[in-house]
Amino acid sequence: MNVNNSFTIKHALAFNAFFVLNYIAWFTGLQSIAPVIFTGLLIYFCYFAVESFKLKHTLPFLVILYLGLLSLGTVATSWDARSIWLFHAKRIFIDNSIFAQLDDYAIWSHNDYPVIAPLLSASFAKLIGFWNEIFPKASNVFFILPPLLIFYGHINNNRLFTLMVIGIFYIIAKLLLNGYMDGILALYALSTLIIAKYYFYDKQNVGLLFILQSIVLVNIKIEGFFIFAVIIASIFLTKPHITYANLKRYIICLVPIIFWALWKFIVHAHGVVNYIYGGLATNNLISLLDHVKSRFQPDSLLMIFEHTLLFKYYLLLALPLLFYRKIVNVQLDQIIKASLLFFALYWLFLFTVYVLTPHDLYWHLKGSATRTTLPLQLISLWIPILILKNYLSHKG
Amino acid sequence: MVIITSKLNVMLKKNLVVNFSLVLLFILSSLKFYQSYDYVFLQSFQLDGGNEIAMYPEVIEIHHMIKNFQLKDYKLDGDLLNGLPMQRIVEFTYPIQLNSSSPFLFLSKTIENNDTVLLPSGCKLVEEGLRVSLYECK
Repeated sequence: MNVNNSFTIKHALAFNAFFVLNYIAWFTGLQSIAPVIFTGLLIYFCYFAVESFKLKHTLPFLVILYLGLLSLGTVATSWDARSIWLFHAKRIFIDNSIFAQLDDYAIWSHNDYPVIAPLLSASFAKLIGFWNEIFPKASNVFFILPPLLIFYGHINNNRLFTLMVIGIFYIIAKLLLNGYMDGILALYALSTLIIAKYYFYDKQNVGLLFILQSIVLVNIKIEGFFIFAVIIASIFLTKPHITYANLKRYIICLVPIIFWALWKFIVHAHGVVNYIYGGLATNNLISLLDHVKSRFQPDSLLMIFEHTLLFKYYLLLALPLLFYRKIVNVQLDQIIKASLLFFALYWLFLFTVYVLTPHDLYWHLKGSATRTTLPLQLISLWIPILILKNYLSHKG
Repeated sequence: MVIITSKLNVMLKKNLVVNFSLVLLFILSSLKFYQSYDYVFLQSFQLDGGNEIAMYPEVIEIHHMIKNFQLKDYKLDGDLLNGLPMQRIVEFTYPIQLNSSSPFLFLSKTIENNDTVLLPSGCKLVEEGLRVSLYECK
């Protein structure tokens, strides 16, 4: 990584390791050590704070501290936060089991959703000893740290990193703090893409970070798995040379997939059904084709385009064109190409989801498109910052 | 020497403008957080911290009655059984669960939603709150 030391890799790796360790502890029935893991996380955070000041890399720490304090001053009131993520965390904490919600009580709560973030809230509650409406969701702020560290390491410029943070605050805004997972998922999507670049293109020794980062990504939300697939496709398609050494690197991708598949298998074994797949499963092939045909009508297509392509932050992508004369010599490196390809492929994925949704199209788009397109909006911020970074280093 | 000093001055001014702009942008971008800030930091580690802000008053009332009468389960009808109120009650009162065959019934008794007309025969009033009433039905 082109940060001047191993600071970002080390700490991003350690924080991701705590999240995965916490997940494994709950999954294997060792939930009694969950408070110990959370205490370890807090102690490590203090160590990270000290090292941030010592090595003068304070920005990521200060941003997280700021978000943490804000999160502790805010109550969870939004629907997804209360009815899905925090309710799962509360059930896991009270029932002392990662599988608490798989009895499918409160069916509206999307009981099949992955639980890596609720598990950290549950561990926090176990450490404190009770549940309330404020502190459990503050543990989500820790999930923002590894992506921030990866951005910090890649940008390697305090001003550009601050600009990136400002952009994140504008784009993701309160979704960073209100207990939703979409903001964290978008941050993980982009940061995993960056780590994948270092792992697959530059052959750097970041395999463990890539695996841990990907395990968290696929376990944040259902979309996480598809985002992971899109990242791998973007990386592969921008450098499709398969050698034996390369193949070994691609095989590592199986590890996060195993984690994802294991959760899917357990959900399936409990008979809990996802509401989108559930809706599709009731259709036979002919009615499914009819359904898809109806979605290819101009009205429906226009509605999908309007809700997934008309975001003001996409305009940021056009920003470099204004300075075309100045950046004409700046190289479009592989990460920019991969980011652009990710943008196209992930949009195609979203388009497919909205074409297939068994729900009322307008209702589904209105309720979710602003959040599901967050990775795209974030990439629209990321690409101009990368071009600016390349321009500055080109200028010398 | 004069040229170097003036160049240095220009550079310092440029740096100052850039840094000031970044700080200003940072403050402006943070405003979005304060729109939904609840000023509950001091309650964040209290047992009932945030309840009043997070919950409808009727949900808190139901929660208190469940605790006072040590109910094992409960059922709802009328307005309380509608989407959002029902979801909030189920989430907040967990681990006590909603059970349609429970003898304990909560009904809304506000002016806007007075559901006491839905009361089945054979139910006796256990407690009357400000917004909800608890009945025990055979």
